[in-house]
Formats: sequence, C-alpha cells, structure tokens
Amino acid sequence: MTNRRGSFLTAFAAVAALGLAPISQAHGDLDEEKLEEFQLHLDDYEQDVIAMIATVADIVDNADATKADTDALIQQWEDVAVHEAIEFKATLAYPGVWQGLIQLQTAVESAGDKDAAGEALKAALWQGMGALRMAASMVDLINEEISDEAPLSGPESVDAIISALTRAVELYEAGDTAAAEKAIFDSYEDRFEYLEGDLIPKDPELVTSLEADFNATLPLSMKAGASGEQMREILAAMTSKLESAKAILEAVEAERGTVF
Amino acid sequence: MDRRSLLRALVTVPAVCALPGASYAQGPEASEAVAGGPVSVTSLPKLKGKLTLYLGRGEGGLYEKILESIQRRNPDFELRIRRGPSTALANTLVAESRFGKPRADVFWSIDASSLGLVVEAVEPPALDDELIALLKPEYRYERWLPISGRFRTLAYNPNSVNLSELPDSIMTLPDEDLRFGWAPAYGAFQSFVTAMRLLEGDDATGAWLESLKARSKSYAGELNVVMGTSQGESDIGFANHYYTLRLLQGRPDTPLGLAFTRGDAGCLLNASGTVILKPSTRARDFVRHLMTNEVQGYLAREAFEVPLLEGVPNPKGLPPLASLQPPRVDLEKLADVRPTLSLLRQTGVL
Repeated sequence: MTNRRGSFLTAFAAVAALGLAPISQAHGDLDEEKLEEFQLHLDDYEQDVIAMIATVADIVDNADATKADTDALIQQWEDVAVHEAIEFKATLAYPGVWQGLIQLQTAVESAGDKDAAGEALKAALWQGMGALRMAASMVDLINEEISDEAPLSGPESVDAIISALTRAVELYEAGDTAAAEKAIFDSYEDRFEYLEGDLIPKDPELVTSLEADFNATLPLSMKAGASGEQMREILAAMTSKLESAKAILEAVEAERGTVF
Repeated sequence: MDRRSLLRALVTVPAVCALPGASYAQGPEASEAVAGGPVSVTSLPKLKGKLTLYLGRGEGGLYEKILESIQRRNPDFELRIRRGPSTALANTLVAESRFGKPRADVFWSIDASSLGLVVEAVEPPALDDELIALLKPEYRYERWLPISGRFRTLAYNPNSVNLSELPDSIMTLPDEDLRFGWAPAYGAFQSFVTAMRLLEGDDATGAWLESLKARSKSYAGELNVVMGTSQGESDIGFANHYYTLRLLQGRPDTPLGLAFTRGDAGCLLNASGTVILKPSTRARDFVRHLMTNEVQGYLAREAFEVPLLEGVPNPKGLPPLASLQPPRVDLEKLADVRPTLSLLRQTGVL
C-alpha cells in the first residue's frame, strides 16, 4: 500500500483553519477483494483497531513520547486493513480518525493535553468500527434472498407462534434468556399483531388475555427467574388459548369474502 | 363541561349517524355518495411479466389475499414478494439504494411514515397526474400513493358521556371533567402525539400530556383502551377507529361510540400506501389494481380501512369521509418519533 498520508495531511492542513473535516482521496494500493467483502472481515478490523488503541495508550502514557512515535502511529494507520475499510465503507467516520491522529501528534509536539487527544482518537477509531458494523449489516440486508415462499395463513401463523414460544421456553431453560425474550417479542410483533383484526370481533377478551401473556406474563416470569416447570405451565395455558384463536381463525378464513 | 359544536359521529351498530342534519344507513354499500365512480378491475389491462414487491405486513393477511387474487386474475404475472415489518423494509430499501442495488419495483406499506422514510432517502420519480387524480384532492402526494386510511378517534362510553358535551378540539379536552384511557407505548398513539407536536408545537403538546396524565389510565394496547372505555374504566379512550368498529361488529350492544374532533391530531388520518421505485407500465398497472373498486371495497369490508378514492364507500359504522375534517399533516413527517418519545418520557407518560 503506497503512502496516502502526504495528500491527506495537505488536504487536512488546507481546511483545518476553516474548521472543516477534509474530504479524503485514496491513492494507495487497495486490497479490493477484501474491501468488496468487508463485511466478512469485521473481526480482523476490530483487531486492527485494538492494536492501534494500544499504541495510542503507549504514547499517552509515555512522558517522553516524540513526533517519531506519532509518525509510527500514523504509519500503523496507513498499513492496517481497517483504514481502507473505514475510508471506503464508512466514509463519514473517516475524517474523524485523521483529525484524532493530528490532534495527538500536535499534543505530543507542543506538550498539549495528550490524554484528551488520545481519548478523542480512541473514540474516533471505535466510531469508525461501529460505522463499519452498521454498513456490514446493511450489506447483509441487501444480499438477503427474496423469498418466493408462500405466506402463512392465520391458522398456520398460530402454529408458528406456538413453535416459537416452545422454543423460547427451551432457550430460557438453557440459560439464554435474551434469545428467549426476543423469540417471544418477535412472535408477537411479527405474527400475533396481524391476527388481532380477525379475532377481536369474535373474542376480544381472548385477544387481550394473549396480549398480556406475550407482553407481561411470559417475559416477566423469565425476568423473575421462574423455574422451567413454571414456564412450561405458563406455556401450556397460553397454547390452549392459542388453539382457541386458531379455531376462530379457521372459521373466519372459511367465511371470508373474495376480492374480485 | 363546555358545550361546543362538534362533529358527532355516534357509532353503534346498527345505528344511524348523529351528524347534524344527516343520517346514513350502515354499510359500505350505502354510506357515501358516489362521485364519478371508481375504476373496476375489469377495465384494467392484464398484468404480465415479473414484478418485485416489498410488502410491509398488513392486517390479518388481507393484503396477501389481495395479492393472491391479483395473481389468480393475471396468470401471466409473476409477483416476487419480500415481506417484513414496514420500517425494516423501508430501511432495506434505503440500504439498497445507497449501495446502488435497488431491487424492488413497488413498496406497499401499512404506514405512511415508512413510506416517507423511503421517499426522502430514495427520491423515487414523481407519479403521473392520472394516477394521482384517482385520489381525493386532500390525499394527493407527489411521490407516493395512499391506498387506504385509518382515523384517530375518541372512543367514548355513552353511559357516562353525553356526546353533545364533547369538545370538537383535542386541545381543549383537558378542560373537561373526564377520565381517559390511552396506550402510550403503542405506535399509533405515538404517531398521534407526533402529529400534535407538528400541529401545535412541543410546548403545547407537553402541557396537554401533563394535564391529562393524572386522569388517564395506561394500557398496553389500543384494544384494551377501547374495552376499558366500554367497561367504564374511562370515559374517553384514544384509539384508532377500527378497534371500536371491530368490537361493535362482534358485539353490537357494547356501550361504545366514536367521536371525532375537527382539524387537529385527534382525528388524524394516517394511511397505508405505495411507492413506485422503478417506474414501468407494469408497476403502474399493478398499483392501479390496488385502487380498484373491488380492492378498496374489500379493505373497507374486511379491515375497516378507509378508502381515499373518489366514490368508494366508507367502512360500515364510519361517517362519510366528506363529513370528517382530518388535519393536513405531512404524513411523511410522522416517521421521526424520537422527539415524541422524549416528550412522553419527560412528561412521565411513558
């Protein structure tokens, strides 16, 4: 990778007086293959960030640190893979890292506040890493296959809810309460909410009772540390209500009018 | 309690409307005059080829029924559907656009705020005038097309509240000696408060929340709000119109009525709608299917959704749309609920 520092520092100097973040231009040799699949290399990038932060800490802690140390830190930044990842995939966070580097270098050279400059640089690096993670999640999102799978009918949705809740209780018993709570929330938000319209005219009390189970009884029992047996009892009672809901939905779908 | 003029839409099923000087029979077939008439599906060209639709999940799978029916009617038409919560799909669309990989031809969402998010970030092309003209003038937007609406309402218990004594302004409700029910954690309530902020400002909205807080009972959802009102736990419940109508559909004797304020957030009309992301004759004709008499009537009958097209009757139990006066709010701005959540927390409502 060739040196991009010169061009960046020139640009930085030109705009620093205006208080603006410079717009960077990359001129180095890029590992384009890695960059193209940057979302697969997040762990590597995080190691780069951790290593840089260790160097920053050394400089801040070293009362005799000189410009040579900050030059070495800047060279480290030039060499690490996370540099180009932030530069091209989390561009908005990129100037902040350079600004942090220059601030630290200035603090070292002019006996300024190295602690503050070091903290600012660490924060900028983590912000860059966070922005990369966000960009990676977006890539996952847009690469997701569009499913041709048929949607579930109302009664089928009830079956899916029962399966999800059963799994949630298993997760809870295995010690993964967070995953269990998420499974409960998702089955309510993504499934049950869309069944309410058909259930309300037929049995509104059943709807409110199930809503309370989804949003209070089940998750609060988990938070309170209920035993596995207690959770299975709650699940059994809820399953019975859901079976009633399923019977209602089957009748509703049989009676539903046509569109055209 | 102050007496003021108001829109009084008494809804008990079966019943007649309490609009001054007007009564109307219940039912989509009779509740609103037809002005020009909606387009029938039989007048549309057959759909052919492939179309990718991003579908924000709709009520009770009814949107799916509509799509199935469209496909059955158009055997040479292949729909590829990506399903998910509206906001999640909106974020996906924004991401795809940002990464230069747009995939959806059309986005159909149950709420205007997610449509607004996409319109703002993706900047789809403006819709053609002919398509926009199908809508009533007050529901026309340049880059997205409302399909159906839902009203904010005051559900009231006629055993404890005299309809004629209710104010027609949401902002004067705190002056009344009433008990209220609300669901502050519910998205629809937060959209309502967001609309109030946009119309009245943060200070007035904060004061409104503060003044009602001590007299309001909080519920987890708006069905609970409406049921609480019918059971006498509150006099007035803040909820979308369809909860009351559905309850009354199953139990016509439930002591519940619907009242509407005028020109403020209390009668906000939120909308489902579509954005055409990749303009084509196919995408346009597909969207026109959603705006046919048949689809609009189906949504009104089965989900109590409010048609926004000229000449399509309202759902059973709702006054004629022309008699209601929702505020003019940029529905796209309802997407940003963060200041609303902050206000709800500041006031201790949430």
